Amino acid sequence: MCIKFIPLSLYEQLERHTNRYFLFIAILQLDPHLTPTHPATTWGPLAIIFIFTAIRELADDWQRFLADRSANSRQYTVMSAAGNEAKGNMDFKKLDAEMISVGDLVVIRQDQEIPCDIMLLGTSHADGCCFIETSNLDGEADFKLRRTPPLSSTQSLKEIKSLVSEIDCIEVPYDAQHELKGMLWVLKSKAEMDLDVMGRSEARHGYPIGETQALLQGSQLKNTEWVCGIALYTGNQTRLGRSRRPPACKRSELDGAIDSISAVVFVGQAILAAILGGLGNQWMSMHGEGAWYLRSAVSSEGLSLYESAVIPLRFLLLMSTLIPLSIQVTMDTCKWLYSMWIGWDLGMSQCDRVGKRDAERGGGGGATLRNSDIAENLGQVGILLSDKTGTLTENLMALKACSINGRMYGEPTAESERRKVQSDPRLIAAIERGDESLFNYMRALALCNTVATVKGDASNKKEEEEAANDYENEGVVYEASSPDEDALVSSARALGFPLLDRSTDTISIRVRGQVETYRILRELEFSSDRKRMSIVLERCYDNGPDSREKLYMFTKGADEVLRPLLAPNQVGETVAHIDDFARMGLRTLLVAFKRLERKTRLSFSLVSSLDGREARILQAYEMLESGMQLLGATGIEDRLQEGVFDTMMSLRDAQIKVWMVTGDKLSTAKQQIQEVCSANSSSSSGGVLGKVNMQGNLRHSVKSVLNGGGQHACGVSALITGSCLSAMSESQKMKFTHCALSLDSVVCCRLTPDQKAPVIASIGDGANDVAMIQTAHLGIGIIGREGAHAVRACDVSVVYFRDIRRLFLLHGTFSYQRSALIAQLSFFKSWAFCFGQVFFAYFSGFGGTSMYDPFSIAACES
Amino acid sequence: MDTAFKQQRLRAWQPILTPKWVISSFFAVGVAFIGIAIGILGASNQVQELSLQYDAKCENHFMSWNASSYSECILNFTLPSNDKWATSEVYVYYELSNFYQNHRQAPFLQLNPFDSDAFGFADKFQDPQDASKELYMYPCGLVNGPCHLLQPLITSRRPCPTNPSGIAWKSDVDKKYIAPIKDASGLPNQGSFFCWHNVSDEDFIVWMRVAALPRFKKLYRKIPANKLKPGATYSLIIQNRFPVKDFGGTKTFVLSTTSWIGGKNNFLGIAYIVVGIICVALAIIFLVKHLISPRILGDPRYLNWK
Repeated sequence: MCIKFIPLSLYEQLERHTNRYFLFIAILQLDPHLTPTHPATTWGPLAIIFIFTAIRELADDWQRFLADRSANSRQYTVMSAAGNEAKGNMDFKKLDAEMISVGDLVVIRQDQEIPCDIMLLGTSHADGCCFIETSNLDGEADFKLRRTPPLSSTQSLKEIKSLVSEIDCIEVPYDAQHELKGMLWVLKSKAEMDLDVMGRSEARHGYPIGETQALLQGSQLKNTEWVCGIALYTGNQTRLGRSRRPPACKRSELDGAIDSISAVVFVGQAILAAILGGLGNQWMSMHGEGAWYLRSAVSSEGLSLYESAVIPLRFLLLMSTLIPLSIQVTMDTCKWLYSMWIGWDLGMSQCDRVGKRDAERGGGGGATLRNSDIAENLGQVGILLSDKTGTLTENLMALKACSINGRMYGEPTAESERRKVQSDPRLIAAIERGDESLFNYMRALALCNTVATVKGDASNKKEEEEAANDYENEGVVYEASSPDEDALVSSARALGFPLLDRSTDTISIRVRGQVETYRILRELEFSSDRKRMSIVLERCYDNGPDSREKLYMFTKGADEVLRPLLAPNQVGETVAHIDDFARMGLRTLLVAFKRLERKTRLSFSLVSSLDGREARILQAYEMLESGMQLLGATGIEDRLQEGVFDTMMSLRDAQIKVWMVTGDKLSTAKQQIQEVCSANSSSSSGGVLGKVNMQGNLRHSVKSVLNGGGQHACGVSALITGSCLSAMSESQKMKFTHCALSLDSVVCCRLTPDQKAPVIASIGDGANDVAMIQTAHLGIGIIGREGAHAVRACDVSVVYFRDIRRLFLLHGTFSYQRSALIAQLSFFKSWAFCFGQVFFAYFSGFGGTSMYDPFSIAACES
Repeated sequence: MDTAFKQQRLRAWQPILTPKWVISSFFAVGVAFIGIAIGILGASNQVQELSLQYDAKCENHFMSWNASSYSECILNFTLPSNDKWATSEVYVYYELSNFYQNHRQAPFLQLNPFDSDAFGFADKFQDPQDASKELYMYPCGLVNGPCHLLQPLITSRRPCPTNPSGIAWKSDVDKKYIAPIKDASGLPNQGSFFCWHNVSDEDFIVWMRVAALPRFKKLYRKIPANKLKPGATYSLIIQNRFPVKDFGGTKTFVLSTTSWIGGKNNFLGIAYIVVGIICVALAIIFLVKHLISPRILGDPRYLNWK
């Protein structure tokens, strides 16, 4: 390791132009005929810089090495794949994590970390389920369910292991961290072969495996005594390993400026050296003859080429101090100090706050500058791209209004601060009356979700909050992966429809005092493309399932995807309500349900081909989800964070443009921006581009918006939708970008994550903002509820959106001004020092004598 | 955590450059500089200096540096009748012009004459007596010749001490020219290589202390107080051996008294006066400008530069 470290470290450092320049100077100084000073004047500081950097890298590497070692030497119980059959010993033995190879059967105990990507084969639970926590991967702290493939449970693990013949896995895109697709082929056991009298089928079973069968490296086993599975990927082939990409190399604008100034200075230095060198040679040829005391370089045939190059090169060396050698180290030290100051700042720290929410968010910490290289960029932000949910807002959802069966409940007005729908007396009265469609709506809220229930764990901090709310909570705590679902389920509970228990295949809720239990037949899961989720259920009665009873399917999703799937003539009033909700800045969802015939084919999973499975499943989903009956709509409020308004005001005063990037409905976004940007512009003329889909019209409307802006002089906001953006051609995008840059604020709505990326500092809190954060010159992550993705990818992490005011306007300005001052001082110092040499050249016959002694030069350079 | 440093609340003074501030500081600096200049020029004027350029006058007496016979060039001069010559110590200098002792290719620029490893190479230069012969100055790389050429530069009969003591820097005498003792095999000290050890000749040491400018004075002797009589006539006996004509230089004999600023030097005083006057002038200009059309402080309109 050591042997490799030194050359690699050197090579890396020589990637920097200035280091290469100084090495060149130092090498030239080795020639005694050239050097005006002692070579140590350059070698010394250069060595210090190299060693300084190398030590820093070495320390990082050592940390990494220790972490690697501790991860690699964790003990797991493993049954090795290689050579077992031959020897016949099928025993488990303890192995270090690094010894696990593909095909091994690995046993993981509770709370252990998963050492590699594993396909689940068996668990301690009889139903083949286990729970994992993936906070190491995506920061989500809720437990996720994983289950075994539907193998016959009678066989022992060893038998299964010996029968597994092949696992095909499809390579997934680079960044699809959680996906896994493949087929598991299991040889049929002898007994099964005998049963299969026809003998026409294959000698093996195929089981599709997916995400739910995968235990990815880095996650932790929870609530399950043990699991075992086959290692699919190890080392750098794991999903975690492959998603580990070199951190995006970002440099601050100031560093770039220093680099280009250095380049200009170098050119100037070369010119100066050439002029002075020419004068030196001229002087020698004129006075060399007479000045008998000089070691004359003038021979009878004039100066040789080498001799005539000597003096210019000497001057080049003399002038080498024009570019300050120390600037990098000085700047790095300053940047480190800035990052410390940002971390120390009590104004951005949440230490003084008590309360669970803050502790959960910041972990008691404040802002952190993770990439100190770009500290100065904080003071140079021109455009801030902001995510909405969780960044501008709390990401604490509350169901504020709902529309059931064409009637609106709750007050979706901005004034009714903190009033939730459950306090609307009309709704309570309606429930009293016992309206079946209302009940179905409530059932949908309670059933159609992925919330996990955890029974009374008093130490759980989450529970304290729930308990504090005086709800009838039955000692059940909800673990929701998204705050929307949490809001819906909690509201349902508050209205007397609590979700009591949810296991892997049953859900029980209480409806008007009666416990209803449902068997889960199928979950049509949520994805950002589908924008909806459904669940197919079968009612269970105490006396067994009633076969005459139909199956239920509950669906919730975004209105524009659900509307086409509804049975005709359904919408009516609800649409108006949804628009109302959206106008109030609420997040809207439609809720629908459908009764299914028992014979409906639900098992789409047994599609045996791997290719296009996804698409076919989607198709099947769509088939199933069509013709639904609308139950109503929900309006979930996500309140703006404290101080967002003031922060926006300050940013506007500082002439920082704020672009909001959101996945919400156009009108929701519009409302939101009015709420946010009324700070920005009292005379806001909101030009809405969103409805423009015709490409030709786009330019026109951008123009009209701009003209409008021209009249109003300031405060122009534009809204643009994702569908509009993706319809644009490259040149139009350029044009749009150009136009947008002249606007004061831009709202981009209904964007899917990859559309967010192409559109400078960006701030966000979730995994969907990572692309935006990494692409921006300055990525800010909010330590939020959507996991740690954003924070891991970001350059600076803050706790609240309002912290960016202090971050940009105080720390940014300070860092930028200080670094600029230091850079100027460095150059000024070197130049002042160097001009002494230039003037001295006149008094020393342009011979390239140094005016200073080596020690002074070395001291001045560093 | 809540300390002045960590919360960036350390006290700092960052003056806003208001017209009042700028004008008064320019004025104060200007006045101070002019005051200093007056002091310096006054002190410089107190210094008595007498210089005699003799290279042209003694041209007929020029001879080679190693010639055994020599003729003396005698120059008579009268000391001005100023008591300073009698009451204070008088410094005797020789002055050379157009001699680039500080040139890179002049053989004086060894950092340390005995630090043979400094650059690891030996100096090579032509023997001034015999251009065909090359001398390797190893390791010191010094020019012996010119020094000895200068040795008999001036002699004075009675008042001037013949022993050159106390004219070189103490550190040069005590440290620099005391060579470390090296073993015989280490330093070839024969043939065309020769080297200096334990130099105690202060004339030589002074000569080797490189002058910064091509026109320079070097201390030759110190004449104690009360040795010279103001108004008396003295003869200067010169052996003219140091060739300056080749490089167009001059040789001058200088007698000088000193004051707290050193020898006679008006440059520093003039420089102070010039800077002081510029400052005062700027202060006046700014004051007039400020009175005629004052500028509003902190007006954001000035920020519009586009």
